[in-house]
Amino acid sequence: MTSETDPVFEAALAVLGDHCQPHSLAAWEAGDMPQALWRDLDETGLLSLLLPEDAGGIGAGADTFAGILRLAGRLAAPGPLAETCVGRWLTHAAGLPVPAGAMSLSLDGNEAPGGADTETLGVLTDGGLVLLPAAGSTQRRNLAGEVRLSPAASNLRPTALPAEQAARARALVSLGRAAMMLGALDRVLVLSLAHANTRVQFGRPIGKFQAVQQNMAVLAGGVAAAAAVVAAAARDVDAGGPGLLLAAARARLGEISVEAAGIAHQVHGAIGTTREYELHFHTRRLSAWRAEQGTPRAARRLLARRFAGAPAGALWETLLATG
Amino acid sequence: MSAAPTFDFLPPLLPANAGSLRAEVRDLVARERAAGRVAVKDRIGMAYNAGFSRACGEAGLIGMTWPKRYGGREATAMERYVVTEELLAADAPVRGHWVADRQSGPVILRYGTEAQRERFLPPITRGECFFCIGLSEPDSGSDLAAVRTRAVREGAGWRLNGTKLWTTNAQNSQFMIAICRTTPQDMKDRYHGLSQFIIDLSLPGVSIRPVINMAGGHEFNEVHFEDVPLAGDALLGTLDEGWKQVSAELAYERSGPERWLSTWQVLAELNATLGPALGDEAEDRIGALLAETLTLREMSLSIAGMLERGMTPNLEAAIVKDLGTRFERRTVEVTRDLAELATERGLAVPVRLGSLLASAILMMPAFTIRGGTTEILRGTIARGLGLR
Ligand SMILES: Cc1cc2nc3c(=O)[nH]c(=O)nc-3n(C[C@H](O)[C@H](O)[C@H](O)COP(=O)(O)OP(=O)(O)OC[C@H]3O[C@@H](n4cnc5c(N)ncnc54)[C@H](O)[C@@H]3O)c2cc1C
Repeated sequence: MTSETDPVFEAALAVLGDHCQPHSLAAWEAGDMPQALWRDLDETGLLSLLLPEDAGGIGAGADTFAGILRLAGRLAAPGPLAETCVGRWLTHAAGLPVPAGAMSLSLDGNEAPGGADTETLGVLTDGGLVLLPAAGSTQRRNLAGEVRLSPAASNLRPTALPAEQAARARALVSLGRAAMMLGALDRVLVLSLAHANTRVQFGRPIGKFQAVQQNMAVLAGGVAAAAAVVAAAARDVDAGGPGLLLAAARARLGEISVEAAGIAHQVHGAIGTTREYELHFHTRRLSAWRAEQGTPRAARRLLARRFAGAPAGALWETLLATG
Repeated sequence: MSAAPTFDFLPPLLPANAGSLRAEVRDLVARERAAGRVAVKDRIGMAYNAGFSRACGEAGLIGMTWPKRYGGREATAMERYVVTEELLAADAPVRGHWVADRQSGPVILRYGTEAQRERFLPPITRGECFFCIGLSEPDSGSDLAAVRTRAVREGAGWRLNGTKLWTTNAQNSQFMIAICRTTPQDMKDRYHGLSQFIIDLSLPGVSIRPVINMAGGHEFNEVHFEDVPLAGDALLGTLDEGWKQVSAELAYERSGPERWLSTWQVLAELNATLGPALGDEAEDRIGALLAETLTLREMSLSIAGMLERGMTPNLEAAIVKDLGTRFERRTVEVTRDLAELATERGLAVPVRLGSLLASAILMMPAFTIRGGTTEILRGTIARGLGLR
């Protein structure tokens, strides 16, 4: 995935890092949308990350996209960032006018991220893409207090899309969520490590106790696994593969996020369960995000069906053909 | 907000010739099976087959990354990775040469004298010379600084006394690389005073006693040394500085895909048994195992890439082993449940699935012990996090 040395990543870090501070998280949740963040994201061209250069975008691939969404997840950046990037790319590719401002993208009419004054809600179905005014959708807040939109019923005719375009849009939206989960896991690890090093009990930092160390090792191992599989998924999406590594990523993140959040809270003790401490912003997001824009269960089903009934001697060879 | 100290596994770069290497391995295994020289096993675990090891040597699949002058083919670490993965997935009987190829040879190449390289490496690459690992002892398991086997100077050589335990495949090996005390332990630096020796197991004073494991198999042994006369050139590397060499050896030992492929045959057989119409429960549980397989494989590939870049991915290897062994356990658990489900559905459950599963249940406790226990590995990871 994209690293600190990529100029696009640096630009994203400048904008997101500037606006997203731990102390803003509560205000955002209370409904104070950071318009300045979204304005800057738009002005620096980051919302057009995936648009081709000749259409005024950056023309980034899935790998860069995942790196930036990971950063956004780490900082708990509000609003439908992945969906806006993908939505702009998709509308352009479909020959539609690219909507201004924040837009969201619902897969098959399922709930989609809102916030950041989302104006347009795209609904992607087997029939194609329909663009609706976001104002007409039902709003709800997820476990992390983030606005989620359910599209209103519509009898507009969808714009038909070539199969690869629709598949790529679906994959990118799901990958975006996976990358954000990875970012949230990064942050959960940092917070837990800092706490283990500074919280003193029995005369020493709790991180000196072997039981705590062993849990921290499991947490770090989970984050490493998540990073490896999300990076592989991004490569897979770029290669236009069958999406099996992406499915592996969504399936693994479902499990890893639960284990990681459990350990992080255990390491923190009571303070981690309070509103005033930062941890819950990320663990609540992990709980919500695992089943947004795809679910672990659907991912496991997709994987299993792909290999079902393969003769024992052929399973390995079939598996290697995944990406 | 600062970045996380994740052990970011660098993206793997598969070699361009991966496909032809895989084909080479598959052809070899298929040919040996067809000729009746390699059996299809109904239990998990690596089998010993001297003929197959020689066939691997002839095919240039041992010591692949070593210099040509020692019989290698100067392949990359990634190319070697592709071959090891393929051999393990095919359940090939590689026990004989596995340790020599994976760790003894590389340690000799790195720390040995020119004479030692010339003596040991070519026969290893021919699949004729097998090594075993002499680390553990009755009173020294996780704590290797506590080894008691002692080598005492005698003339130009050494006299060796002590006992190594859990020595896998000693019964078929000509040599052992052992860690021994050469200077009494100083509690201020417990790891100083250890040295590595290449021990010829045919020397007088060496006795090898089988230790039968709970699955009823003879895999490991007790190797006893009583006044074994070692020549001066048995010393490997630097006197009293063997600990550093052992750390390098452990990195080779822990970094391969064998740590999550032990139960691959079980999973593959289960998947085939359940057939194309899995149903909800089986889909959910098999899907989870496949997701883990794909993830672990990405991590292993990445480790091979790190080795190729000359890095020492100890931490990454510890992570993969911890995740991999937990995954193997889960495979066994899922297989037990889903084999029952298959029976309930009236599907034909092959006898082989039952026996693979039974052997896996009996071998499973060893997964999280051999090659470093889970607790010790997690300690290594915690150190990497800066907690210790
Ligand atoms: C199948 C198999 C094959 C093997 N093959 C070989 C071989 O070829 N050559 C060889 O040299 N060895 C071999 N071994 C030995 C293996 O390396 C050791 O078993 C292993 O290092 C653990 O040592 P131990 O069994 O003495 O357990 P111990 O070290 O006594 O550990 C017992 C328990 O205590 C825990 N423990 C110990 N120290 C700590 C600590 N500091 N903190 C927390 N927990 C701790 C351990 O994690 C474990 O749970 C093999 C083992 C097996 C099972």
